[in-house]
Amino acid sequence: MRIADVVYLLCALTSFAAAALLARGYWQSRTRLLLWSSLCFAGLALSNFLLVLDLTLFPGDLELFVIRQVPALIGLALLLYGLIWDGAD
Amino acid sequence: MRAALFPLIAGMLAAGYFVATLFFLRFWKETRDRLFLQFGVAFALLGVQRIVSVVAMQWAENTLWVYGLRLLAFLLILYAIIDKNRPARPR
Amino acid sequence: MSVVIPERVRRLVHEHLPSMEHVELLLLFVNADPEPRSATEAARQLQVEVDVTEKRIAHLVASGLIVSEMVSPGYERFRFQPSGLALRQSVEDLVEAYRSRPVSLIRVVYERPPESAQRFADAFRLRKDPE
Repeated sequence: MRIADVVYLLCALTSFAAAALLARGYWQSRTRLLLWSSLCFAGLALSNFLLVLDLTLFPGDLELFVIRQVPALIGLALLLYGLIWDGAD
Repeated sequence: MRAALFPLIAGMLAAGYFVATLFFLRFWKETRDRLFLQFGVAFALLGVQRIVSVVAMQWAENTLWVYGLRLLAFLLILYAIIDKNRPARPR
Repeated sequence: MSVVIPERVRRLVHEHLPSMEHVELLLLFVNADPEPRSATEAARQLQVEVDVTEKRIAHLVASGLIVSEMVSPGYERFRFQPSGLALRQSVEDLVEAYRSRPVSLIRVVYERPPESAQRFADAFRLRKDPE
């Protein structure tokens, strides 16, 4: 395991933890902003995890670059949607 | 052909991260909860990483500065969560 | 943004006291301490409907600010008992702010950040006990 793999795994785990805490918060309070931000951190976690896979399975290749960013893009879009529409309640 | 998409995607991510940062900073100003400052800076770092990728036209992600910045950002988020759970000090 | 109101009063208000009516209800119990009061007595003293007062009392109980004493079945009284030292100190500051800076306090109560922001930050608390 190289340093980069460890780092990105840590990023994925941290992001997943944030997503889980926000999901629990949404389950308890039904505050919609928490739903969107939870999904954002889930997307970031998935992106980082896919990056680890990419680095391990296809060393040096950027084959999966676009696909890997899709969860992050969707997650960020959902977060911004939530901040704009549900961030002032 | 694929590579032409890289700067576009990186730019979109960077823009998204920076806008999120602005919202977090506004929440920090309103609530005075430093968790929002920590999240704001973390997201800004993630945005900076994407910007530098585009400027340097460097897309490989197993290079030190890329995972270094990403690590800093997520360590900050981790620290924010830990900080939130430390007992409040009586003054 | 009033700097004359201490930070922990702002936090106490934004986390547990959604209106001035809640503040005054809490202060009623603080002033009555150690005597308990029932919902009916509190409602009469504050000149508010009993059912509204009961709801606000339930909120204060859930926030760890007052506790319930069941005197006899169907007759419940409440007493000021904060669930921690930090909370007690915040309430003491609140009493002082109400006495000396009522207008600033009202501003703090009603100029509050959006609830969604508060909930976002609260989600990262691993244990849900009041501060």
